[in-house]
Order: sequence, then structure tokens, then C-alpha cells
Amino acid sequence: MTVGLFIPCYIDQFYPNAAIATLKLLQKLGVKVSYPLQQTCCGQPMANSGFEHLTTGCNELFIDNFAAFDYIVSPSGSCVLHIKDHLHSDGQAEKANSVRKKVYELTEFLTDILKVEKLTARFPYKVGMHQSCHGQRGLMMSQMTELVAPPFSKPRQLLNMVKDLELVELSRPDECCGFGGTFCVAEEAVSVKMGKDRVADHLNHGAQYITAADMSCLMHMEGILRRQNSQVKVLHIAEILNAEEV
Amino acid sequence: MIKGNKDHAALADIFNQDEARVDWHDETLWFVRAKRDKAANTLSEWEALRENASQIKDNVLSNLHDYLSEFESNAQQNGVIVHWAADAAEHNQIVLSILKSKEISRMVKSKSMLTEECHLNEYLHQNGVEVIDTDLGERIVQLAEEPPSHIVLPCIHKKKEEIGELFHEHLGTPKGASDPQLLTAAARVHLREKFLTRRAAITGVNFAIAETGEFVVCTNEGNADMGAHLSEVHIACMGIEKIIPKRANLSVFLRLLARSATGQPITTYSSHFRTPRKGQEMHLILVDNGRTQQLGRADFRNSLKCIRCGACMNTCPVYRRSGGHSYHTAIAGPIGAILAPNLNMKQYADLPFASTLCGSCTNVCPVKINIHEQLYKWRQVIVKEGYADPKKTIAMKAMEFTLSHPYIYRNAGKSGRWVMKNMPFLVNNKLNAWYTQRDMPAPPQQSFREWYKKNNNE
Amino acid sequence: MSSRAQILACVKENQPALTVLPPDLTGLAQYPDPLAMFGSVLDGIGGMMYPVKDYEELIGLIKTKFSGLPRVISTIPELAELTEKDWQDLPPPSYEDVDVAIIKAHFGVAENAALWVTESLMGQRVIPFICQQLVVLVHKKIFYPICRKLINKFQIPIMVLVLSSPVLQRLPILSSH
Repeated sequence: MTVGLFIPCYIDQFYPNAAIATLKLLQKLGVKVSYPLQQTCCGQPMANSGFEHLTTGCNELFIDNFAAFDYIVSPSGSCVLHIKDHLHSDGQAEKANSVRKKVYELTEFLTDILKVEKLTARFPYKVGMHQSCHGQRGLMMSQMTELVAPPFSKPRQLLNMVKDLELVELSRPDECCGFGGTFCVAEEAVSVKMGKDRVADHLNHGAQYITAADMSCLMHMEGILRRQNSQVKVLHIAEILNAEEV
Repeated sequence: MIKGNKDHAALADIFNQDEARVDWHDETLWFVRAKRDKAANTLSEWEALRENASQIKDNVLSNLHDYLSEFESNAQQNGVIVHWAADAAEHNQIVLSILKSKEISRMVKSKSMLTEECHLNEYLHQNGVEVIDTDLGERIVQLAEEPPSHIVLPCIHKKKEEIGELFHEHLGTPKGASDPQLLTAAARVHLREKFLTRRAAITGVNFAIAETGEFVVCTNEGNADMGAHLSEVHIACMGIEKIIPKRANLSVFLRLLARSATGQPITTYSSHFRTPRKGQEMHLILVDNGRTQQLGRADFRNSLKCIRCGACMNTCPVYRRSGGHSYHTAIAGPIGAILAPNLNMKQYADLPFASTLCGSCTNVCPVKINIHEQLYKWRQVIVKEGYADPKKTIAMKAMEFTLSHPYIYRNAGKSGRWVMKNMPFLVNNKLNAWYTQRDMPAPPQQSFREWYKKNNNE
Repeated sequence: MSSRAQILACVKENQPALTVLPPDLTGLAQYPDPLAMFGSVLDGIGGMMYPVKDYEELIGLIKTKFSGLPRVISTIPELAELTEKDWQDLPPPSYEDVDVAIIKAHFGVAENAALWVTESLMGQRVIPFICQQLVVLVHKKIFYPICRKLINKFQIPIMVLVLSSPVLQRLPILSSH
């Protein structure tokens, strides 16, 4: 099995530790992982702003970088959803189709493909799990509170394997954090208010860390936490799942 | 009324200047969403019902021509006078001409979003006709000279103290009184007088049944019935998409509607109007006003399946924190944001962007409209049609160029520099919208790519 | 071209390819005791249910519940001793001061505490809406788990149920005119 590691641009530049943890975790689980050095971005920032027609270059580049792998894995539900839903190519239609089918967000790859049942990680803290919308409602990584259906959660299933980790319950388990790509600046007032409310839910329930399968939501909440001088930190779920036993 | 040309972001910004009020608005609507969840969970077949309702509506849209003809002919046989209006102006003219023919200059109206969409009240007012909205919430916003902020809960943005103030001014309740029971009782007395003295009543329509020619009006206060049954002339106004094929299909929608809207098991009254009362005239106006155009837009036509429950508004984290008026259109919230650009793409170009595309709206929709996907698609259409901000277009093009060329992307600078300068949400200066209320991420020593090249030996 | 012709032509032009109407749902919610379910849902939305065994008990109940209220009307002949005579053909606004209206329903629906009432049971259409208090009688056997198909005609042998709504008429009613 060959896995191509797809690291979204802002993780590459701002949150290398999330990417390193993803790589190490996959390697620890015996997966052969490569990071194609020519990758840049999935094109989502343009597409969600209404400029999907400008993403041809990104699409072609993505296909060139990743088409050869058995699986493509990324620590970002949102970017994965964009590839799954919107990647297309006039010249390489078949390859685009195949890429869309084999791209996975990290936690769904761990639960659905690797079928991970135990981890060696230990993380002795109270953790709030933020359900990022694109991963949850788009990739169906966990059940949604709007639906009348049995509950499940792939990220929680994995966090429950981490020794000494205590998950806190939230009042609104799957409310959006308000990041939303360019929404966060175009609709600054609402975005910030959503972020403050989301952070408050975690703080009110005693979380010491906020985690998610999407770094962009965490970047947003971190921006708010730091402005509030809070001691609470954000960590990508890969960093917790890969936390060394101490 | 909302004045000027402010867009959603600017209006939301104003709404957010009072954070405690935003909290109250958010909590109030979240409470309704929670009631909806509870009501939905009482039915194990909830998801099957949604699917069934969605498929019935698909069938309606695919056979709308024949259903409309069938409905019209049955309604006429029942003694109902049927009118057709191509747009809002024609709808309003029809209403006025019916009133004029009866020499009626004062009437009551029960909540109808269609008449809001057509701005009927203003039109009638300009033509010397007094209209009293009889739904309590509608009456409150009418007294406040504001449009409704929500299609089911029109005065949800008003606190009881503010309603008390309005009632004190207009209905003579004691100053400072804000007890809901007292205010409701005062409104009831005030409205009963109108019901008893007005000769014409307008109602909306929730469902029109092709098979029987009857139409169904769902209300909680019974005001549609009070108006219709006490008046000489009943005018019902409906969008052409409100048709359902058969009576047997109705229960699916009645089971979904109120549970989705307010968490009630069913609306207090679900009244079937089939024939006029003896001595009464019953008119029905079938309104297009852009609906046939939307029917022709393959990506957006299923927005016409909407049954106006308002669930997408109650669940929308943006709506709850920006208020219905920030959408500057009769139908606010996520559903309004996919309906409005059809009517006027330029005026409503901002609305599909007033969303994080979180998808909660799609999940609560009782007829399974893919609302958030349509928001995404409207964004593409709006940009292609040239309604995007030119500055944004230049920025997007620059971004596209860099991201399509790995060499340029890599050499755009050391860690963080390119993203800092180019990611639309992280422009590195203290005047930007990210930084006003949020801190920037701290740039790391090295990018992942740099680390990988140094450390990873595959 | 008239608006009618224009709208219909445009609908025909723009409507998508025909899709089939789905079959009715099967395996829907069932309640072992529809009457009890009805009562509990009704309670949750502010109505009250009173079982009575015959008219005599009903008349007694109404006398107790609504003592001192001057204007009581009913479409039920057996309640003649309680109610106003020859009220049915007055102009609708003249029912403005009706204190209590007592009517029958064809059937009740358990899951949402709805009652199916047609014009013939109301006397006048405005009655259930204009009265201050509404009492609806339904036979205890005529309760359905859900509102599946709306059936119009029902024989009511004897009523054994009284419902009363609060002042604001929060009683769910399915009516047909």
C-alpha cells in the first residue's frame, strides 16, 4: 500500500507539527508514506469564494502529484471534501475520478482502511473535540445531531484509544466554529462571534485542549483563545493520537 | 424597513454591536432548533418521511404543468375564482381590483410570506387600503414598521419589553407591562375587533391539492380561519410551487412541517378550504414571480420544494448571529439566500456568501433541499456573471497563479511568508479583518516541507 | 398572451423530466394504545382529555367545568338542554360572545393529538375559532396512530371523550370546509 501525504498549504506553512504527527502516526502503523514535494494547495480557497473556474491549475497539479498512489491521506477534512466533491480535469478525467475516490481524511483512513483498534498514545488531559463541519457533514466522519440516526464518531473512536485522555461533553456538539474560509474576513463580525461561542462551550466544560480533524477550525479558535490570553491550547487530532507515552 | 444598500456583512456587523442581544437571539432560536430535534426524534421514520416528502416534491416539479391545470379546474368546479399572476405587480393589482369591485378599503391578512415577497401591504397602503396583519408576530412587526425577520417567527428579534412598549403606544397597555400573557390578551381583543369588522381577508396557502382543488392553510392562532370565515371575500395567495398531487400525500407534509418549524406535533389548525361559504366569494391567486425561471435552473430548481418551515434559519449559526433583517429580503436565512439571487442577482449577490457552508441547513430540511450545495453553486454563478468585487477577482487570480506553480509557491518566501501575504484570511497587517478580534498563528521555524526534506528518510 | 398561458407555457418548458410519485411509506409508527398516546400528546400541548361514559356524565361535566358561562352552543342534539336554541343560521360575527362550543370530531390521531372535523360538524365554519372554549367529542374507538389518510365520513355512535382547549385555542384541529 502506498500513501501520498497531502498537506494543505496553511498546515505546511503554519502548523508543520500537525503534518509531522500525521506522517509519524501513519509510519508507526506500518504505512509507507510519501510527501510529493511539488504539491501546493487543493484550490478550495478559490472555489469556495466562487472562483472554481480558476482552479484548473491546482487541479492538474494535484492529479500529477497524487494519481500514482493507492491512497491519498490528509489531516484536513475540509480540503479532502473539496477534492472529493470538486476535483475535475478535462484532459485527465479518469485520473481525476480515481483521485476523488481514493482521497481520505486521516481519521477516516485510520478507522475505515487501516481499521485501527488500538494506539500507544497517552494524553492525560481534558480534551474538547470540535466536529469540523466539512468532515462531519460532508465526509460523514460522525453522526450529525440534525438527523434521526444512531450515533457514531470516527475521531472520538480513536481518541477513546488514547490512554488517560478525558473527552469533555459539549452543549452544542456539532455547531460550526465560524471559520468558513474567506467567510472569516468577509463576515468578520459573525465569524468572530461564532468562534467565541464555540470556544466558550469548550471552556465551560473544562477543556484543557481543543482538538479537531481540521486545522483551519483550530487556527480560528486559537486566534480567539490567544486574544483572550487563555491557557487552553489547540492541537490537531494527529498530535494527540501520536502523543508519546510519558 | 431596512434602508440603504448595506450588504449582509455590514448589517450583521451592526447587529453584532450588542453582543448580549446576539446571545439572546442565538439562544432563543437554538431553543427552537432543540425542540425540533426532540420532535423529530419521536418518530423513528423521520428520515424516511423526509425522503418521501422530497420525492413527492420532485414529482410535483416534474409534472407541475399538469398539476396546476388539474388544480385550477377542480378549484373552479368547487366555486373558487382562480387568478394567475406573472409577477408581484400583477398579484398586487389583482388583489386591489377584487377589493375595488367590492368597495372594500379595510381588510385583514393572515401571515403569508408570498404577500411579503410581493410587498402587498405597501402597495395597498399607497392605494388607500388599510391592511391589518392578524398573526400576532406579524402584527407586532407591522406596528413597529419593520419587515418580519423570520418566516415562521416574524418578531423573533424583538424582546418582550420592546413589544410591551409598542403595545403601550398602539394598544394602550400599561406602560412597562411586558408579561406575555397580558400582551397576548390585549392583542387578542385588538385583533378580534378587526376580524369582526373587516369584509375581506387574505390568507396564504401551505399546500394546494391538485386532485381535489382544495388548499390547506396551517396556523397556530386560528387567525386565517377567523379572517376567512368572518369575511365576505376570502383571497388566498399562493406560489405555483405549493401544489401537491393528492390528499394522501398531505399527511407526510403535515407530519414534517410543524415538527420542523417549532417542534410541535402539528400546527394547531390545518384548515382545508375547498368551497366558499354560502354568500362568500373565494379567490385564489396563483403567483409565478420568478418561480418558473428558478424551475429552469437545474442546479437551483429544488429550492422550490421548500415548505417554509424555517428550520434552516433556526439551525443556521450565521442567521442566529446576524438576525433575519441582515438578509435584506422577505425570506431570510439559508433558504432565502438560494431563492433571492434568482429574483435579482445583483441585489442579492452577497447572500450566498453569508454562510460557512457548514451544511446544517441541508440536514434539517424536511424536504431535503441541498441548501449548502446550492449556496456554493450560486457563488460560482454570481462570480461568473460579474457580480464579484473586482479587488477579490484580482486577488484570486494572483493566488491561482502562485498555487498552480510549485516553484513560485516555494520561493514566495520562507516559512509563512507567502501564506501571510496571500491567504485571504491572513493578510499580515494589523488593519486586516482577521486581526481585529483574533491573533495570527505564530509562524514556525520551518515549514513542513523544509522539515520533511531534512528529516524524512523514506 | 394571458399570464395564465404564459406561466403554464413557461412551466412546461422548464420543468424537468418526469419522476415518479413515491409509494406510500410502510412500517410507520404504531402505538399500542392510540387513545393514551393522544391524551399524553394533548397534555403536552395544553389541551385536556376527559373520558366520559355517556351523555349524562358529559352533561354533568360541562355543567361543572363551565358553570356560569352564559353562551353555550352545540351541534349535538343530545346536549340541547345545555345550549342555545336555533343558533346555526346567524351571521358569523354574531358568535363573537360564544363562551363554549361543543362539537364532534370524526376521528382523532394519536401521534399529534389532532382531530378531524368537517363543516357539517361545526354548524358554522367560524365556530371552533371564535369561541372562548372548545369542547370536542370523539368516540374512544376512533383513534388512529397517525394521520395517514384523511377520511371524510364517519359514523359516531356515542361520544366518550371530552376535550377542552385553553383560552388561546391551542387545540390541534384538522378541519375541512
